[in-house]
Amino acid sequence: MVRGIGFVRALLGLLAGPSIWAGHFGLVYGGHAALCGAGDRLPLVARADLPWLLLVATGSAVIALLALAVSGRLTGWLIGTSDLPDEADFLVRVARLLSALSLFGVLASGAGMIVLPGCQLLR
Amino acid sequence: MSDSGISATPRPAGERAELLRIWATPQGWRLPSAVNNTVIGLFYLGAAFAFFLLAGIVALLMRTQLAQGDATFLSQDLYNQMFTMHGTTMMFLFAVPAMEALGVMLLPQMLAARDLPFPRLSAFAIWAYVIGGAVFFSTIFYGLAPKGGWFMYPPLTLTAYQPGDNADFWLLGIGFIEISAIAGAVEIVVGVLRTRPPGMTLSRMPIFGWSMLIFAGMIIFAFPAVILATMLLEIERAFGWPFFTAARGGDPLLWQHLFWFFGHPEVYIIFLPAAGLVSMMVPTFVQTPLIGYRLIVVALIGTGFFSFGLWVHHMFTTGIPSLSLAFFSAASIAVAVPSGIQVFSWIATLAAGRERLRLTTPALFVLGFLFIFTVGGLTGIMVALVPIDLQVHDTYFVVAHFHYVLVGGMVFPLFATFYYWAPAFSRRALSERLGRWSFWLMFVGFNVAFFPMHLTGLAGMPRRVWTYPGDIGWDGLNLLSTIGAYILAAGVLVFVVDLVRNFRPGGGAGNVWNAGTLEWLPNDVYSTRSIPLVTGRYPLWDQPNLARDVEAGAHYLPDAPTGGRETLVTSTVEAEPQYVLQMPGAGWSQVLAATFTAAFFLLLTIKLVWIAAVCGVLAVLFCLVWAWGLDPGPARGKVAVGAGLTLPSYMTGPQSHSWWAMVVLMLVAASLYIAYVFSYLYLWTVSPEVWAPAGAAPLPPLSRPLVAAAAFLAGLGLIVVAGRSLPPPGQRGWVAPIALVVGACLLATAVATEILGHIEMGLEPQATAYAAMVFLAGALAGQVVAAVLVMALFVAARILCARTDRERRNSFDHTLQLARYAVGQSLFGLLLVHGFPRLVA
Amino acid sequence: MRRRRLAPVLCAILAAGVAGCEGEQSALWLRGAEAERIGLLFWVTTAFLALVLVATVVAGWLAVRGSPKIRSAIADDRFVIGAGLFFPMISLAALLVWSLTVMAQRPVATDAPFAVRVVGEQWWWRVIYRLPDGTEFESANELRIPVGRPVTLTLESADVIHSFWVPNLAGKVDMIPGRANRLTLEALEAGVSRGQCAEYCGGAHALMAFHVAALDEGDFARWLAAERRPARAGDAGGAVLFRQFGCGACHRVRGMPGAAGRIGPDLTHVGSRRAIGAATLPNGAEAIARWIAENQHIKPDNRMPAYRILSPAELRRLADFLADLT
Repeated sequence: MVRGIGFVRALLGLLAGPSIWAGHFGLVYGGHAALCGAGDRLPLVARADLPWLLLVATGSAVIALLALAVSGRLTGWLIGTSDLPDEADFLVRVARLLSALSLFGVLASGAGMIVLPGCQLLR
Repeated sequence: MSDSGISATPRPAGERAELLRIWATPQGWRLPSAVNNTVIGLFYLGAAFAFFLLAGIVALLMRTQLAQGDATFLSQDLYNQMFTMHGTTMMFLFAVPAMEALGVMLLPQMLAARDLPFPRLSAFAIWAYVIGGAVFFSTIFYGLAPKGGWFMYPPLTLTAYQPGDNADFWLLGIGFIEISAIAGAVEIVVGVLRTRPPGMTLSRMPIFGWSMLIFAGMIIFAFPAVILATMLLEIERAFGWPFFTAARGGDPLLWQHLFWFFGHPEVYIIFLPAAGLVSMMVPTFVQTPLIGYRLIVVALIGTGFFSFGLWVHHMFTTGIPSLSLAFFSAASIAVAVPSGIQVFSWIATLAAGRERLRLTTPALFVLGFLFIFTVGGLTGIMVALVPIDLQVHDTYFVVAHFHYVLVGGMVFPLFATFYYWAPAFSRRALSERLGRWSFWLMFVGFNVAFFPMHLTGLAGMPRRVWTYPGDIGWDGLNLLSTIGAYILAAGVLVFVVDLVRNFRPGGGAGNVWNAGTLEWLPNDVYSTRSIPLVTGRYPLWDQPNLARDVEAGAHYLPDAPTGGRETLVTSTVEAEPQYVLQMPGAGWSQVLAATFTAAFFLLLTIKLVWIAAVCGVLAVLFCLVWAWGLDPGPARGKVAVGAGLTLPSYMTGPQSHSWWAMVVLMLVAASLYIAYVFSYLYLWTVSPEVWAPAGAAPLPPLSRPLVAAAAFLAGLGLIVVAGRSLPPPGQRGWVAPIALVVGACLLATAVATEILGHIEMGLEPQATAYAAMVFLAGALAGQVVAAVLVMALFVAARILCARTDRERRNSFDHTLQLARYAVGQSLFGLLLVHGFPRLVA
Repeated sequence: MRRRRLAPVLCAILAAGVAGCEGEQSALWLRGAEAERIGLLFWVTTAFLALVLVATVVAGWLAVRGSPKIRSAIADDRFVIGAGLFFPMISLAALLVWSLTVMAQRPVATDAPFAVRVVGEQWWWRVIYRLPDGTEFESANELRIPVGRPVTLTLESADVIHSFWVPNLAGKVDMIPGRANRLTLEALEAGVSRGQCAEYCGGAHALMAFHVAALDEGDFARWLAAERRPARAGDAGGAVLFRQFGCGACHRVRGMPGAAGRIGPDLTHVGSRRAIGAATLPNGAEAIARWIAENQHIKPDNRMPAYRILSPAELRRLADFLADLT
């Protein structure tokens, strides 16, 4: 019997980067839409908090993705090891490239926050 | 010794005859009862192609109308029905089913599996689709076709503006594709992850396997959004719950969010399998492994994710704040990067070839795809930039763009696929001479038809117009497009002639392209003679004697140790053999279940409620008849699968294939529920004034949801108890069935308690969007609990008939899985409905 | 302005011999401030992407037909990463940021002497002007604005979703029930542009167009003064027919008793408009007569019944009366 990588670990490791992109995307879009739409009716947060929320979300996503893309060890730890070393190596490389691609996605979303103001329509 | 380390001792005589008998396809009038993936896959593909031809004819009629300004060839009403049908049919009845069909036909062959893991499920999906799709399409002949566009935006599609049954037929048509898409996703996820041949680790999987896996994953998360959307629209049309009516707190934009959350991934759902097919063909053309295999896997996964961040890209002009648009513009830009990776990987592979590319027909179609898809991708970047989209959105520029992407990205690869894989399924290859004619006519015709549309759009022509002023200067371009459309159609016609003359299903003409993947192994109705041990990405190139050894039965499962249909289940990552999956063969129950499902929806649409209800009950009944024969149990014990290996023939718990299928189904249900939660919160941000407590009937006192929650937990507890008290093998028991049924009934009581609580407080679902959302939460809980109840009764009956016990327990386990999910979802629903209004009050 | 001379040249190169660049509904005839901002982005992006297309085709050709040295250079992971990953990332990021700055160039605050509400209805446009003194008057299917003065429109819908689009002047904005969207139009030169509904809105969606006339300051002031006045009393016989056939139940003619309908377009100055039937027929007594009698043929499903019961003489007289309402 080969001692292998569990499916959940493999999935987690492979999709860590894209999931961070997805979480970031959901958070900044959802947060922005909710704060702009619901104004100040939300508990805990107010429309004025928007820039901070976006900044913190983007900053932490960028740091996490950088770590995943750069550190083979971190990604390797997420995925685990296999008696077939090529297999683990393949998954780690794919996972790191995916994190790099996701980093691009997060930075592209971040560009809007620098250039455009909060809730206006600008038409 | 063979090259894979498996010894080729001669197999006993008679094994092949036995395999042929077990896997024989029913003949004559019994053919519809067949479940072999190659047989029903061919039906599936044939039906999808027929819809492609029909929708194409509709397109030609529309192009004829648009050849000149102020033309009256078609009436306004008919044209509006036609463009709706063209889009709906192409997207839902052709593109997605065609890709699923290729998955059904090719995937098991590429994985050298004997069949998909749930053969009757595929058959069910196909028959529901064929019957439903045919009836849906025929509405165009008697003026009942939907005319709200394939996107069906309310309020235009509400009864106030479209009182007839037309819009309901659209909702119906979409219902079938929802069923077959999700059935397909279950098959494909489990098939790709669990039925790969031993040794085919994830890193050795054919790219088509990866692309289908991601295709299925995307269906799981994208389709539920449109399922919810169609539910909302049908409920508003039938019962007046105002989800989309602004005057009562609804919002037309909710539909657009839900529809495009499905609709944009849908484009990639269509494109990714096609890209996977191209990644399979290009290496064969130049006889060299794919360059950048790993990068392509990255690109496929990346596309799958990014495609969920694009939906508002269809809503740039709806007046959403600029910054929100910027997020979606960014994702739309990001999704272009993976496509770039794939295009350049293919180009690199072409350059790597040991021999220069020979321009065979499939190679021509692939090159045509590369060019057309690249053009479509580049105009895609233009529409991803918000300012440019503000001008070209909803114009012929966009029509040109997405035809370049979809025809380029899906139809051309599909035709390449026809020419490339036909020899694997037909005794004769298709004609190269006719193929070339077909390609050049299609390629030239396509560009003549669609390139000018970029300019027509920039000149100001909007989409979905049945006519335009003759003096506005759009005539010349439109005439050119019409001429191109006819040339394109001529190309398709040449292909049909080729098909009729040369396609003879059966046997296969052998490995004519000298390809490296397993679908080119010698095969028959039982798929390959034995299931190979794989050591590389291109087994037929890496293991020169593989075909001979496999055919000699030197690898796994050369016989049928359980005496019936079976295939090998392996582990997800390293593809280690785990157990032998026993699967059902031909039968009628899935055909009848599909027929009655189709009848149920159709009759409901034309408001024959009682007959529809009877058909619905019959559909469920035949599903149960079909399920009764499943879950075979461990009676056959461990069996020898050849090559010195012995494996169990039955598996329960998280290793079993059906457990995985349930997980996929629960993911679908959870996605649906997340779409609901999004809708609830979204409508609150739009119209907080109709929310409780200020804007609606007060919420029931907290004791009410607490009682409901207690009932949910008690019900689940009873079902768990039932699991503990299952009878020993071969015996009957009374405790387990009673606990099971009472538990399920408690769940139903809990749902009723919750719904009645709101009714008692005087809340009416027609009053406001808030009220409608509250009752919908109850309805969604009721829907899952109803499924648990049916399953509980079914399993109770099985226990009483000694067909389910402590060891033979998959049927019970899956009921428990669903019950857990149902309770989890319902408790979350209680928290949302009773907690959220109190939180924001 | 430099850009505005550049665009037609590029346009001519791209679409040689194709009418459209100077068309009154063309998105490439840049006659409004927003259209102009978009136009520059459009042309630069188009030129860049055309180069990318050429480069990709050349790479593909070299991959198949190039010398062994070139082919082995292409057949490399590094080529894929460079051309397929880094090049798109960098160039697309640049395009994205530029497009965002174009979005950020918000229109200047309006100082127009009036506010305009445009309401999309199946299948025509209700246009409501509101002056600073609070007076409101209505028109239909035609909008007039002064050149060089940004005018902010409020866009609404009375029934289903429509989309307001005048390609010469600006991008489109949807009109959605329950919402009020905004769009600022600034015409850079005098002239007439054509607009059309861009969101499918059912039946006669194809025939839901309108005109926007940009007028020089003086012309605009004169037009505004005339437009806000009630209709002048015209041919009394025509007015009698108008009442007799119930036209006033749906149409308003300001200053005319018994003509206060709100269902259809306001006809107070219908004779001064360029077209009728939501820019379906060029205006004139003959066209009006045709419309009254055959509108269901000209524009199927529109809400006005076809009045075939009028005798030719009556029809003529009624049409003359309406065409005279300038």
